[in-house]
Amino acid sequence: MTYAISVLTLGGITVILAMGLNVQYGWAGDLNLSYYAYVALGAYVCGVMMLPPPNASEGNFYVLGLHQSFFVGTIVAVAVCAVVGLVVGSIALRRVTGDYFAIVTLSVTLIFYTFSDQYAPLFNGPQGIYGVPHAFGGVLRFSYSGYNLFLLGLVAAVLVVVVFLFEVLYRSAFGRTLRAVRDDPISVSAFGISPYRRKLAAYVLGSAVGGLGGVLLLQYVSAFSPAGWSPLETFLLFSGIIVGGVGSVWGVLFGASVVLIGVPQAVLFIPAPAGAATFLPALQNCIIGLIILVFLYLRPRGLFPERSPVLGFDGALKWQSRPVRFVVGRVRTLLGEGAA
Amino acid sequence: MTSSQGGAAADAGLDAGDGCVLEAQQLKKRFGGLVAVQDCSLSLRSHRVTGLIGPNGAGKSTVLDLLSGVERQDDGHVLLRGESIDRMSTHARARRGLIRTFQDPRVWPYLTTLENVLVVGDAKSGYSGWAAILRHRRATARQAANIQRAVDVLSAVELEHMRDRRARELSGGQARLLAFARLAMANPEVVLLDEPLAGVNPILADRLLELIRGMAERGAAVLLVEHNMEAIERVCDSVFVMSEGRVIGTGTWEELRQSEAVVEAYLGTGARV
Ligand SMILES: Nc1ncnc2c1ncn2[C@@H]1O[C@H](COP(=O)(O)OP(=O)(O)OP(=O)(O)O)[C@@H](O)[C@H]1O
Ligand SMILES: [Mg+2]
Repeated sequence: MTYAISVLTLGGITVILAMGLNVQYGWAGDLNLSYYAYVALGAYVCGVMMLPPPNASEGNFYVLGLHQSFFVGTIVAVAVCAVVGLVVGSIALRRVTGDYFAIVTLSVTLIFYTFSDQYAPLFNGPQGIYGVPHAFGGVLRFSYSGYNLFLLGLVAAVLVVVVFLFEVLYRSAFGRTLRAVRDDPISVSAFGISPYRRKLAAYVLGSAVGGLGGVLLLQYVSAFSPAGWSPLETFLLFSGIIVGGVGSVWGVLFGASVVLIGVPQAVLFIPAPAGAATFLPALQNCIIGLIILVFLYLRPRGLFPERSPVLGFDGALKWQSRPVRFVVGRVRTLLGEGAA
Repeated sequence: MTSSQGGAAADAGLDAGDGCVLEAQQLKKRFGGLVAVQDCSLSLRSHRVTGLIGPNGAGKSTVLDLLSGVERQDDGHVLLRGESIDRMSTHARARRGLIRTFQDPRVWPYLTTLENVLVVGDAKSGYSGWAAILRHRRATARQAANIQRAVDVLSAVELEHMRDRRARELSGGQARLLAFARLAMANPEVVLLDEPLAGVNPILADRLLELIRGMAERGAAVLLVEHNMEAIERVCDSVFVMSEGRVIGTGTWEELRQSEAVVEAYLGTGARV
């Protein structure tokens, strides 16, 4: 039970992360390799907001240490990620596109990673931050397992909000324009839309969601250190997007769940050779890499390719997407046709 | 330079210069060693369809790129309603009513036909990421109005039955019709068309020409790049002829037919109908 809760919590966080990356990659078409830097930044910032001032005699150093609540920490962390995203995006997206953008973002990650690892006064260097207080620990006095359940609920709630929000955005003029920008930015600008501003908005939105995911990740492990993540983490998220369907909210929800929760669990059934602790994680990454290759070759637009909402004359949206049709159908049956 | 002044002069008399909406002054553009456009001056008037013809590689599309800001000129100026727009981005020019099509239709392949047209409507109604969430009802109402218009525009070019198909599934000619529908949705004041009829069947081509005329009649200034001389003859009030990056003649179609230099540079090369 505890194990299942833990798997689902981590899985839910990973799916939230994939959602944010999908806005940048799937909607705006920007291959952002720095995504995980925002996840880490969100985690670090929330951590140093919540922790008490560092205890130098124990060899701990980090900025801030304001002993704030989880709520304040989250808001600050998400805001910092959004602002950093705005600054980086407004530099990187203005001129560089395509492969160059990807390379610039990769450099950003490497710089941030090196800094967080080597420059101890920032986030305690290689040791990282640890012992982060539980979310709402002061108000809700949970037992250990009670807290885990609470965290799962929190992650699920955030996931629902993110999916709902992105679904609305996807169907809105914003989502539609963004997908047009992805397909051909120059012809979009010929109709009076600045592709740069739209891409920047997507970049900031994705960064903020990445930071939010980072905050949840921090709560899940109650610590964050350079050993716990690498710039390559972003690639795992890409696998969820590619399998599910680039750009598709429901596809990514599904793909990220299957690949990023399912595969790591399935791998555990494979007997590892004794004494090879790194065997299973390595195998897992190989399998995910293989899945990406197979999908790119056989089904590049994923299992649930991005759908276009079918628009009725009254402006009401009839949604074509299979998962939605399925759920809506079930709900209608439950309520009786009249109510629906 | 053999250019016939009659038509231009007659126009000038009619409009007293005020009808001139878009003006290019001595534009020059080079790509590396190649001078694609040189000393190119032309002007567009509202209520008029102006043709731009010339052999392949004459620099017509490049002129459209310079006028719309997709490329920057090395020399010369572009004036919109008398104001210099040299430093203005493509989207800023578009927001001032200057809309172009491309020689490739450049539709957005993963959007449906209807969505392709809707994006243009969205562009006119402004930024709506927040509105979709915070003022959902109003955004939906505006969307409904946009959809109604988009469907009308699509039926005008007989693409309504394709509305929910992805643009990448359209045929070459249909993609061009969609590009035209997007332009119509934008309801522009200055229209730059790069070979809108290429690959379109004759009956629909006639329809498009009517729509182009209609835009001019409602007050737009239209520049039409086209290799189909019959079409040029039918809709254009006046024509500019380009060759090797230069404007080598201007006037009405009838006048140009009589101009030796023009016939030699272009009409003599087999393009004549
Ligand atoms: N981006 C570019 N880079 C380099 N050369 C270019 C570029 N665009 C156009 N040219 C060159 O500029 C010249 C004019 O090209 P342009 O496309 O304007 O011709 P055009 O009159 O539109 O021809 P067509 O009737 O075939 O469309 C050509 O010689 C072309 O090779
Ligand atoms: Mg051309």
